[in-house]
Amino acid sequence: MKESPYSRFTIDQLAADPDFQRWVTQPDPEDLLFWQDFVENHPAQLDKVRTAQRLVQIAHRLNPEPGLSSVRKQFLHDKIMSAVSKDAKRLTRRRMVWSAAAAIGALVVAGAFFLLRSGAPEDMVYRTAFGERLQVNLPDGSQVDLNANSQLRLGRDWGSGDRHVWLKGEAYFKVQKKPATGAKFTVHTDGLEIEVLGTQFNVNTRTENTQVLLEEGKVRLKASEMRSAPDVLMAPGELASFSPKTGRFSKQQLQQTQPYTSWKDGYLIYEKATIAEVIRDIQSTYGLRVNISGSLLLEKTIRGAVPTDNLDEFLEMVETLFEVDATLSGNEILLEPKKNPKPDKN
Amino acid sequence: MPPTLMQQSTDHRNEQLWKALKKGDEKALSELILLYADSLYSYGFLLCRNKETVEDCIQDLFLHLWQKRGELADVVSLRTYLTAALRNRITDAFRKIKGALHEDLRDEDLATESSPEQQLIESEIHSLENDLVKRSVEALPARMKQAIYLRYYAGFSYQEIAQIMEVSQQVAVNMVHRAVLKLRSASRHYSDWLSFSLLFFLFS
Repeated sequence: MKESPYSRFTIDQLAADPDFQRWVTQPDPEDLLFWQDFVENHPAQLDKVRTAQRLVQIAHRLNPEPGLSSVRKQFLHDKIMSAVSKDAKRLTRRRMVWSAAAAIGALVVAGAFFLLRSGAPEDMVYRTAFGERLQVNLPDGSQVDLNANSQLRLGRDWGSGDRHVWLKGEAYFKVQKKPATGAKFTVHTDGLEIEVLGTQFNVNTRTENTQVLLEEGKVRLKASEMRSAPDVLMAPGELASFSPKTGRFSKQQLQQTQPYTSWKDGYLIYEKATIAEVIRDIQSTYGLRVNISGSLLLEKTIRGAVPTDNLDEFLEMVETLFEVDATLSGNEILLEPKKNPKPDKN
Repeated sequence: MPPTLMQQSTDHRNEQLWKALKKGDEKALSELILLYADSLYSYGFLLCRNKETVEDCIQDLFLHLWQKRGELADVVSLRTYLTAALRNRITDAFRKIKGALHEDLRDEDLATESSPEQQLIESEIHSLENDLVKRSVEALPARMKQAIYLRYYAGFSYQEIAQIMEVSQQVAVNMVHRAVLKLRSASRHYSDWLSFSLLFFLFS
């Protein structure tokens, strides 16, 4: 019987050999015959073969399953490529934000939602990173604008009958009516159900209370964990606030809805915002921690618009409007009173 | 398909893509992402067991390559370079989460449990051996798991494993060797000369 070169392999060499690995993980009949033959003709090698076999099994078991799905991979690819081409355009877009603020028109509602549970593998999940927005066209023709650091999940039986989505973060919905079947559209957030019959509205779960702004149509709010509590009906232009802790609602009629929805166009509009509110937005939009040193003007309020996809510019405006120095290091921003205030110009 | 089996054919293409990337070719970046996302994701997930962290780190890694494309050096093995770079990013991400107090974060701090999905994956061919394999995997320290994975699944050489895990080549060899010894002591019915033959190879 002729000596196989494999008989001189060490365990390590054997386990690292691609042909040997194929026999262990996905053998074809030829492999099976070959290795059976090998062990029969080299009985002293049996233990070596088995140990190497076990090593390969362990290595394959360590490979995470399921891996990156093709959908997620494409999404990841697209995200990187769109950031790359945005990078190229950024210079030309600088300084357009303030004029855009004046021009903002009919559009928009913004909201944040909380995702209740993590999705089962079959669920379709849309996710945005910090500083990113995503427009999602749902299979039923409804449109969802997903704000930064948010997540929208569709139940796996989507399309059959009623439509349910789970939201964490903030999103603006344009829901397609289904008059023929009367199929409902329901947005689930932490402790809250928003039931819809053809409408445009914004949901925001980032703040302590979940906020729902209705721009058009009609929605009904239900506290999902307190079935006995009465439902709340909303009219256009209303802002409803829901406390997941207490299950209580409050409502107010807004003069202006833009400040709640401008994120859809890539900036935040502030009418009378304190530095605390701006800090909250930096944290939820860019995923950065904000530290404060020294005493800042906590009561001071500002008006203006800041971009949600350009941190440098955002910080520049915060520095100017609040008279602070903002220093970015790693994932943290330090705000401190301006060291060299500009002399008052009179 | 394990990366070992497809490595050879991609070496030349890698070199072309890396050159094109350095010249600012977006298509090269796109192809590199599609080529490496899977294997980077798998190794990253083995490191931290957190999908979002791994995806974020892969994204940051490629964006960083793009932004620094003018300053990139030539690399011997692109796959090794990217794997090492991802590992650094994931380690940094975890260091930040754990705070500045844990400067000397070790791999043992990263998640070591196998996921439920993973535990379900059973090889039909060797089902009798599965219990032993499963127990052996669970018993290995995180760094040994990484080394075994890199060596016998991803098909890296010891030199490359050393580069990825930022240890000397001797340490990389020892990690695999110690894992093999542990594995063997878990199944005592194998004769002792096996470990000697392995020892002989590893240290000769």
